[in-house]
Amino acid sequence: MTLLRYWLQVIVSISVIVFIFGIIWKIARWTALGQVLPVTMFPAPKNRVQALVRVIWESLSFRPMWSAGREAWLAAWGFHLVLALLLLGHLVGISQEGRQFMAWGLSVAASEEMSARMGMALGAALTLWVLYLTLRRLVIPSLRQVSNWEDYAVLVLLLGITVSGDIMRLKGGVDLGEVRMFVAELFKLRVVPVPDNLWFKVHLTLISLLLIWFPLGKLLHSCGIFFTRWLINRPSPREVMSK
Amino acid sequence: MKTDQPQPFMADEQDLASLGISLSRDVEATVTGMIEKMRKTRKTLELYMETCTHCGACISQCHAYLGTQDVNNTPVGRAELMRKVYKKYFTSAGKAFPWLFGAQKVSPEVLQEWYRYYYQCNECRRCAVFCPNGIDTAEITIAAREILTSLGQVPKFIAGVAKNLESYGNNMGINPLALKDMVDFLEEELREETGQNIRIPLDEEGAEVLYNPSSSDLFTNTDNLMGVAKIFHKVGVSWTLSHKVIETANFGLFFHEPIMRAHAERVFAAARELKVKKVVAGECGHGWRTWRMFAQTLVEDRFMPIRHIIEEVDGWVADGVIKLDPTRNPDPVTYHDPCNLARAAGIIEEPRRILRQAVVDFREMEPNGNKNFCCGAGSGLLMDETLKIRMKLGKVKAQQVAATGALILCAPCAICKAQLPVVMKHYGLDVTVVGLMDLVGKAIIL
Repeated sequence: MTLLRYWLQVIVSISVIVFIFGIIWKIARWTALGQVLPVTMFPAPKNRVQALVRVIWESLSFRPMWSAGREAWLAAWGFHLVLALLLLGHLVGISQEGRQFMAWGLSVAASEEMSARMGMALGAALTLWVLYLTLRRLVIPSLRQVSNWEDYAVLVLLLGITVSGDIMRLKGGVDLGEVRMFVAELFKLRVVPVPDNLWFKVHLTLISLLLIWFPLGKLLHSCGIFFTRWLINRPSPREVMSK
Repeated sequence: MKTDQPQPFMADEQDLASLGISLSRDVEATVTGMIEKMRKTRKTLELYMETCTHCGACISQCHAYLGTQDVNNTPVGRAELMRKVYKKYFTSAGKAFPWLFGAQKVSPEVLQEWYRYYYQCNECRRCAVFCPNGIDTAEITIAAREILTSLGQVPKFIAGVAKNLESYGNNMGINPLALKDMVDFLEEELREETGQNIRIPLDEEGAEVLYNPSSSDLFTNTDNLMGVAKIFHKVGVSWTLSHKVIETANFGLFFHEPIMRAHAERVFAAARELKVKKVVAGECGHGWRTWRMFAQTLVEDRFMPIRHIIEEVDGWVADGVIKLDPTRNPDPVTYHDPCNLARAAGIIEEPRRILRQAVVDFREMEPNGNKNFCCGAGSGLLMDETLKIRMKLGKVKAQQVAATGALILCAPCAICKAQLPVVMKHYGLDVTVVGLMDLVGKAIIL
């Protein structure tokens, strides 16, 4: 009975555990595996610091994609940028309960208003971006041919998350204080009621599904990119062969 | 669209047995067992299997796809052939929801596709330059070919080259007597051309340098070896060839790591026997990758430096030890960056510095350097029976060369030098393909 009553809390808790431990396990495994023969690409960085700087720059800017084509770059980089801003907005907005702009001299009401508007704008932008990513995957023949169901499933899941978030906001939003309390208690492993808002529950359920999906499928690229980019940028000094 | 070209003829069991390759019969156990084994020492394999997002950035960057319009010849499509199998056996999601994650059991039909398409990949690594995740499909091809080898699926041509390498120390199967004859002949040619006694020393103990050319330099690209002889003569370096190893190429890279290791060891053994101080590698792209990047790992008692002839000549030209007269190469020249020489082993600027001194009219093709396109025969795809597909793989290169208007195409790699003349002819281009040392040999002031 308790389980049924608190089903969403249970799902959220499980998803957070799967997400955190799944990622840790994958990173630990990738770290432990060996790479006997180097796969450095040239021109290569001269030392590890240069390599590290290049890995970070390439991972954040998607520079290789820029060289491949501007449209593909914009589609991918723009999506990740909006996603990152939205995640940051969630972090700050929930932890500050929408009052983060008071630091800029705004009143409580004005800060909450601005927080909500920015959230709405970013949410709408992400929805459009996910739609664009879906559309180009369907429209570009070669891209459609190399796509599998997971590619579409992840996009549909993201779309569900953004749309449910957008609807939630359009319908008056959710009490950020309650959300903050819910999240805080969740990390203390305490079961507390989910804020009573249908669209928030839908939003949260889909996010939980995404968190479970994360360490199991292609979303692992978000962590793997730092390994793969390091491997092809790893310095390979010429003097090794000239000793 | 599927390509309808024939696949490479397959080696038979005897061919492979003579190379010491024992075959497995249990397909599923072999494939899964080898992937499990390989991913422990090649984390790239596991990462590449798990992190591709199918973003498609690689698709239009692959000359194989541009030439054939076959989706299995896109880097992502080719990688997917193995990724499907990997997901089925090595991921929880693929095991639980194969339809959703595109997981697939291995079968004879799957292996047929592997053989077809992993032997249409040139292992050029261009996809890795453009992939946001840095996925290098060549690594996947190398792994897939290693698995295919265990199951007895190796092109007869590649197995034959490897057998020659094992028996004679060179790809062409040149025996010591033929080698001596050829060296004598080339020395005579050099005397006629220059009026000087320029030697091509063979098996001379105590020389400073063991020069390891491509075996084709002794028969089809002889201007290259004669150019090198002139250079060593002018610089005053004592050097020698070894009849035990006249091959800088290493076909082991293309299908079986133990063969790659054996050849690396063969070179160092010859160098030790002749008591030389260093090895200088001749014009070969993938061979240079194995020396530059892998030899340190492959050969435990590697005790001397290996340099590339291009690095040596670049230094000598810069120091003024060699003087070049560019008017001896008056025709417009363009330069093809062999994939393994440039992207995979870092020789990019050196040949350009040399060319600017050696020819009157040097023209860059676009793109170039680490973004250059492959000739279409990389990774040993020089089989006659797949000529049609080779020409499709060389289509982009022909377009690149045509755009420069050059009459000479300089390609310092034996595989490129075998492929490009055929490609030029196929696409109606009146372009002569030469090596870099051919041009230096003509321009050098003795």
